[in-house]
Amino acid sequence: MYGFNRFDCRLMVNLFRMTVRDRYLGSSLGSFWAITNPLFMLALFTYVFGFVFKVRLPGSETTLAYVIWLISGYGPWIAMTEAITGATNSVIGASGLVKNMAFKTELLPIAGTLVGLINLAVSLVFLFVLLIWSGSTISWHVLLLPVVVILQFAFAAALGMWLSAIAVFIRDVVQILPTLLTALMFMTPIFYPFESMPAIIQKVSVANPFYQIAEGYRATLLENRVPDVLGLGYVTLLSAVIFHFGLRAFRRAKGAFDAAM
Amino acid sequence: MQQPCRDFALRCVHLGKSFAVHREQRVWRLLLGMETHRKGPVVEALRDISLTVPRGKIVGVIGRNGAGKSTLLRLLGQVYTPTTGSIEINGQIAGLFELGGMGNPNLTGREYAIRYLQFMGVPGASVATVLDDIADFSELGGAFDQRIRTYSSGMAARLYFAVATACQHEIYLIDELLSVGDEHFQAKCWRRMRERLLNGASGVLVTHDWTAIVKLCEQACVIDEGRFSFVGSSDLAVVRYLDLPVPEARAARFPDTIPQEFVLESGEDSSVTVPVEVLEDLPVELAISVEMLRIGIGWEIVILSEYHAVGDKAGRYTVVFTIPALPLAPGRYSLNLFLARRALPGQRHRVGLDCRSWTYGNGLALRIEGRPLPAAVTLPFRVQAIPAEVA
Repeated sequence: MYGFNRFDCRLMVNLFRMTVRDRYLGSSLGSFWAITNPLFMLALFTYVFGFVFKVRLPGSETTLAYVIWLISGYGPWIAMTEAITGATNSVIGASGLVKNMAFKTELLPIAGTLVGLINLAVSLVFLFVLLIWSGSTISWHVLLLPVVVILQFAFAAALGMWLSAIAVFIRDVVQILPTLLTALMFMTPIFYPFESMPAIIQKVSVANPFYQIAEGYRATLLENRVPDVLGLGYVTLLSAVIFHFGLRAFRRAKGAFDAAM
Repeated sequence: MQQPCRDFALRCVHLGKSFAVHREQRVWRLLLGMETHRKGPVVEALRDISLTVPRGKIVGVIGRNGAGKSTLLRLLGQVYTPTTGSIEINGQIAGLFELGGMGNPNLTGREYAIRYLQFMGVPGASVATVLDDIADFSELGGAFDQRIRTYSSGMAARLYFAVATACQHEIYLIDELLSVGDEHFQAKCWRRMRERLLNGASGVLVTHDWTAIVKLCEQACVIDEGRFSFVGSSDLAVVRYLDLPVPEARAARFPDTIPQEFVLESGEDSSVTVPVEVLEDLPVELAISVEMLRIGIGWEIVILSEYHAVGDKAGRYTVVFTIPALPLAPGRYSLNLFLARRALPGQRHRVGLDCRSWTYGNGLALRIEGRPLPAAVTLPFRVQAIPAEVA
């Protein structure tokens, strides 16, 4: 499929494991940081928005409800950031592999994206603990969560395909990316409800795939409903198109990688 | 010998690759696929390359520097995307490119090996065994745990080779690989490649070292300015590559009526009859050799005669070689004939007059039929058991 065969799948698993090992097991407390970092960020934003700004959800007065709502959007966002950054750096970071090994380099951004899964798992476990502790009901809709996760990572991989190839030639991408992602985060209704946006911006934000993904998480985890099929369908279509052209661009460009690295 | 067509390890059809020359300014054009090839100068590195590697065989590609060998190998290894044509691959590929390792000279030899094994997905349980094997094969000793940047180039090459061939892969892409290290280590490399081949590995070997081609490959291609100028058996490919001048055959020659193939029966008293035409009054001598290609070892001379006098006067002669109880196993051999003028008193060397030899690309085939033998050559022998009390 798409020029990938079972050997490539096996290789991608190996690449994923290598990347995870590099990312988390390289430092002496590696796996400790893997868990602590997202939790620390969650705690920080919970403090700022929940206790300093005292944001409350419409129709609910408790801080805990807001915190759960925040984490259900922000946890996946951290994973998204991790996935997109990981994918963007995947080719540059593996220059030794790219120059010397015979393999399809287009597997690198995909494997780099998947590293975000670790982060997501930590956030989700923490979120489930909070959900159970607060006595919220978890319905069968949670079974739809994997669909949302798959769509999220497909979208990240699609972006990563472009970004990783561009980053080889234009290193500035790596520098700008964190700023861009932070801007995107605040433009997406993650810390504040969609309804609190100005009406005009609401209309535009529907087209924001990050918002649709965040809504997918909140629908399945908090609101116990089937996520907006139209919204997720839109994300699917968008991912497919970006991935398709990204893969083609990547394959055109990869012959020039070793000269640019 | 020929494998069925479907059972190939690697195949490419009409492969071509062009590079845009000023690619720095063309990043966006490249990424967006905007007619990079119509504007600006383009280097056509490869043109219309078709190649099939049967399972269990290594196909050689021989060519001079800049002929496109390394580009071809990178295309096959999917490092480059072909501009035209398609590639099909059945198996896991291990590329042995310039043996640059994986770029990070701050890794220790052991760390590098572990990384490579991770990349190849070697299961954790067998990693320790493979690591021991690598340490042993590379003969690095204590240096195995030192950083690669402290290695000499020979040590690094030994490490890279040991690591790359530590596991049995399905397809090897080899670039000038076997020219690393000293004689002792090279012998080990050959032995290992032979083992991998016997265990069913396939591959492509690109090199300008023709001896490597005849040692490892049955089939080979000559690549010249980005296209195959010859595809066929490795001995003929080497001949095309070396382009040795064949003696002019003016004073004496083998007539064109000479059979292109001789068929003999293993174990039988056999003879080979060769016609010779001597055109000038010269003391002409003839030698014969029978050689066979053993994969992984090279051409082995099985029979090599001395020069024998044919005649001193112009005329037609018939030379008969007789081999009693032909001790060769059934199979295909190359029959080589050399005509020379006897060295005159005071001269040290004979002067070659004509030849039929695989090294000149016009060797004769010798097919030996009969019952398969477990060895290539069997000498007549007798086994006799003598009871102890008699002795």
